Amino acid sequence: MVKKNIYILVLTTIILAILVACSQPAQPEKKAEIKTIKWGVVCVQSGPIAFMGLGILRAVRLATSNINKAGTTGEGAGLKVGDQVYEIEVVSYDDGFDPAKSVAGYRQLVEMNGVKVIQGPMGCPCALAAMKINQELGVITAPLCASSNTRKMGDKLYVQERMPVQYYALPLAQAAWDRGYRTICIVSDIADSWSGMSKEFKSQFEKLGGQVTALEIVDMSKTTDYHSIMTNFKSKNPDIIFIVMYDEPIALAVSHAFEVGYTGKFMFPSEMGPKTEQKIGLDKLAGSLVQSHEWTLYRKYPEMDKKGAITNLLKQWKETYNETPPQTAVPAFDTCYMLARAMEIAGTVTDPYAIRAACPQALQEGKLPLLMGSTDMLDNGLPYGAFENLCEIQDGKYNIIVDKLTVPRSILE
Amino acid sequence: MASNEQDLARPPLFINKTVDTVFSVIEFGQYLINGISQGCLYCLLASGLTLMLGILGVPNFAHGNLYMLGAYIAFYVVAFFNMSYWLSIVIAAIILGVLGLIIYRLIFYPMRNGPHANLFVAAIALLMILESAALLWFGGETKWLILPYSNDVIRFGGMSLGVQRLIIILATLMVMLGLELFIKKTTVGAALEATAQNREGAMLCGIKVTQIAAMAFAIGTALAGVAGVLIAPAVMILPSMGLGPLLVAFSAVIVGGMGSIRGAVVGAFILALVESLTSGYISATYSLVFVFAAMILMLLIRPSGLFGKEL
Amino acid sequence: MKTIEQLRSSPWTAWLALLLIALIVPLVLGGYLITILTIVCIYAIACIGINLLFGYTGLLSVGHSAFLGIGAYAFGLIAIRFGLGFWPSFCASIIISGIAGFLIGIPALRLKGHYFVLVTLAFAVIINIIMMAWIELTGGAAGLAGAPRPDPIPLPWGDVIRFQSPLSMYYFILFFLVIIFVVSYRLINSLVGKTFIAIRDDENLTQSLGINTMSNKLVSFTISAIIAGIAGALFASYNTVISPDSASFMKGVEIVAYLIIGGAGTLAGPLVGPLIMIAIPEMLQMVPEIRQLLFGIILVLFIIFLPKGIAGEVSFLTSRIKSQPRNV
Repeated sequence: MVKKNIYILVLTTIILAILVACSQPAQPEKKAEIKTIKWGVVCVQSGPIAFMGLGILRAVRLATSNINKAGTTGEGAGLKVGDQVYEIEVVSYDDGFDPAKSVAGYRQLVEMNGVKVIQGPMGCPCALAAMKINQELGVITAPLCASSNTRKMGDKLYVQERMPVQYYALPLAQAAWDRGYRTICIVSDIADSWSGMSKEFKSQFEKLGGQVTALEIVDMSKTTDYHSIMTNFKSKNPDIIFIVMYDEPIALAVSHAFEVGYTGKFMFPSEMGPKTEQKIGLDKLAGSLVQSHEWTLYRKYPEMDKKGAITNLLKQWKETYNETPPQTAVPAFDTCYMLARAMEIAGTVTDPYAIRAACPQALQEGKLPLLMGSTDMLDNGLPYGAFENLCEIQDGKYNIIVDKLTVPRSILE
Repeated sequence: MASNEQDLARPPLFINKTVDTVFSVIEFGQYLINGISQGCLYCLLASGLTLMLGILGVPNFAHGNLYMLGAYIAFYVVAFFNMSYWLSIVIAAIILGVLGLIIYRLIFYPMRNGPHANLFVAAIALLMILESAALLWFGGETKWLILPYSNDVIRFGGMSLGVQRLIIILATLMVMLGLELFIKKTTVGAALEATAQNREGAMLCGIKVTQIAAMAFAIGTALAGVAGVLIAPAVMILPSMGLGPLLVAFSAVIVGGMGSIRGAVVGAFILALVESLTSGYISATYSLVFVFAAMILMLLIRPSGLFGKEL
Repeated sequence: MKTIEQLRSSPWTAWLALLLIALIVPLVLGGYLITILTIVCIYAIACIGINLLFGYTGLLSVGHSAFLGIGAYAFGLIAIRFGLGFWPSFCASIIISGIAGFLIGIPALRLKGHYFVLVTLAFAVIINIIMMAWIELTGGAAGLAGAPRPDPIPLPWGDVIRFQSPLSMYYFILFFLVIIFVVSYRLINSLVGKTFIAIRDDENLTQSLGINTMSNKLVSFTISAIIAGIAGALFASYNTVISPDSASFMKGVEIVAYLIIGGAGTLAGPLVGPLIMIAIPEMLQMVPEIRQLLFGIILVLFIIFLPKGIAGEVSFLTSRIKSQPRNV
């Protein structure tokens, strides 16, 4: 009996001791030979959406290893600030999609690793929680949250990863109207960016005079059966069904639409990609509209990819991880390059405000192997300039019908 | 952007569509077909669950992940080893049956005399283990099992049914018939049924209850595996695919009555129809709410379910 | 902890020693560890609630994430949408959680055993879906930002405690943990508590003694719902955002798992469980990809070899620890 008590006591004490020991910060670096800088990533690495979070981590790992080998602009290995060449080391924390853990992760990476940049967390609640403390910790935050709320927080050490998709609702609605489509049914995911996009699309399309006869919002990660939704849509006989989700659920929804006898056309956001092509086949989607950007097109037509950034990434990803990257990887990759280049321009790896101030120039230079081709950054942290096209699928190919769907800069500022 | 303040005043905007003034028989028929084909999946899962719950008292939360393993097995057998899809049903049944025996022997059997809630914690732990193992081994990327006829559709009278769905329906029918024959016509099956109805009585008859329990578990897991194989060509294959159908399967078990396979089948189809009809006529967002409301309703009116023993 | 050993000789000194450790140690810890300890405290509060319901009344509810969520959302929505301060919103959320617990408890408690567990699960899933889907009210999957921290407290010597630093929030939440712990301790040792235990051990017998088991169970359920609601509201205040994932059904499952590992039906259980189960994954941060797998394996090993939970295995002196008869 006494032995058991002592056993428990000793066990608990050991655990607490280890915990405290782990919390000791890393050895202070010797000033003379600072060669490594740590790059932080906080994202979800376990549970149902682990794949998305791991996409961020892996993208950052690939980007940093590329930078370590060939530099940010391809001019020699490493991150170069003044005379010093740095190697980037990625340190990560798994926040399990829990805002409290994201905050803990930020603190841990800063306290134990002294990072000045943290990419992630993924998800708006986590991002908002982390953004409450990043300035206090003196670290630049680059979360994955496609919402306008983050830009309004006045965080001076914040960069957004890409333009939220809801801004494309207006040009898309206009384009659909111009093509002659008058009634549309929409099924969208429940995430803020998607549902915001679909609601905005509905209101814009109706302003133009069109009709949105159904808008269904579902949780794409939990929905396995779109038959009933598609049956309902089919009965309303729309000109087009607009599916606002990621690639995989799009493929599922389209296959279910066909299974209930829908024979019409679809419209897809820029997330539509290889899975839908594989599962459905472009020949079955003749006449459908696809919002697309460089990622969509160059992935399929590598000959269009003059800079080669996308083709190279796909190849590298396949070699390293034997998979195709999820959507979350693309902006993370770009952000990593941009921030590294900003460090070089600002001439510092320790002053987050200077680094952040140098971000617009990093993009304006146009020398980075970016996947999304942003050319500038607004004051509120939004990267600007990556364009989207509208394509129509004909003869098994994407044909660009509207070049450069533009969003006026004024509404983004 | 739409103003949130105005929207707040209205009730949930879940009826976001125009309401048809004409009741379309074809549309209704299509919903019925959708419900039946989806119900097959729930039916296979629920039968396994009801066996485990009725005989072992184990609410196997990991059941959904066993089904997920079945789907992955089908994927690898066909895509990797290039073998016949039909073969993968047998392979999955065997692998998962064996896995079920191992799980039972290692985890649930040693715990059989402990507090009841611990079984539930063990099932949760198993769920975590299976999901993270699948994530590690197979990767988190969605896999698609594409068979030659995956995209073919049969049309009749304005309604349609995917060929894969038809196969699911027929295969489920055969599996359930097989199960029914096994239980009614074989001695082992009779022993199973006896244990489910009255454990002590079965022991008195000389039935080796522990062995029967292990067998019940293995049959349950094998059923989950078969469900996974059958549904694999029709859904996205991911490590997290199991949880959603699991919850509905549990509801089906409740509605049908714990321990009764007949009940599980009926419950599964009822709930699938509820899901299909509410999804179509009311709102897809809240269709699961209706399914669970149906379960709660059943629990309040008749807790033993449609076919279960009176409590 | 040495407290569990000394519990035998002198309970109060043991608990006071623990309290002292909890108060003093964080002063030397960095922000990261304080954050982790704060999370442990919040989970401990929720576990005390479940302990009351399950450990002492014998009702297993895996759906208490519903009350975590209701507490968090009531608090957050009243504060954000109606602009009320911390304390009015907090009190309102307590009342709302209590009402919700009462309303859900009435139908749910008519069931027993597996049925009860599954109906709590059903309620949790329903509430979670509504939180995600009613975007106009709850902000949907993105949640809402702006849940307030407690109001600043002016100190006599002119300084002000603003609850922005990790240490201040830790003490605030620790304060609630201590209060709720003491309340639950008094409750368990009172007549009401003993009635709960009687219901847990043998409901039929208790009923035959003329005790209204239904109303006692309802009281237990409601109180546990209130405690979970408090945990949810504190969580929302700590994060300053409300999100549907904080009320996912897996959270409800986690709380029960932590309690059982810690030891259901013991006083130390709800404290030990979250400490161990949250500290271990933190230590395993070094291997993120297999962290979840190891966590599950550790959980299985704990549950097979230490089924009474840590505190339960240790404190066999109290007759409060009983295994329920099983038929596996």
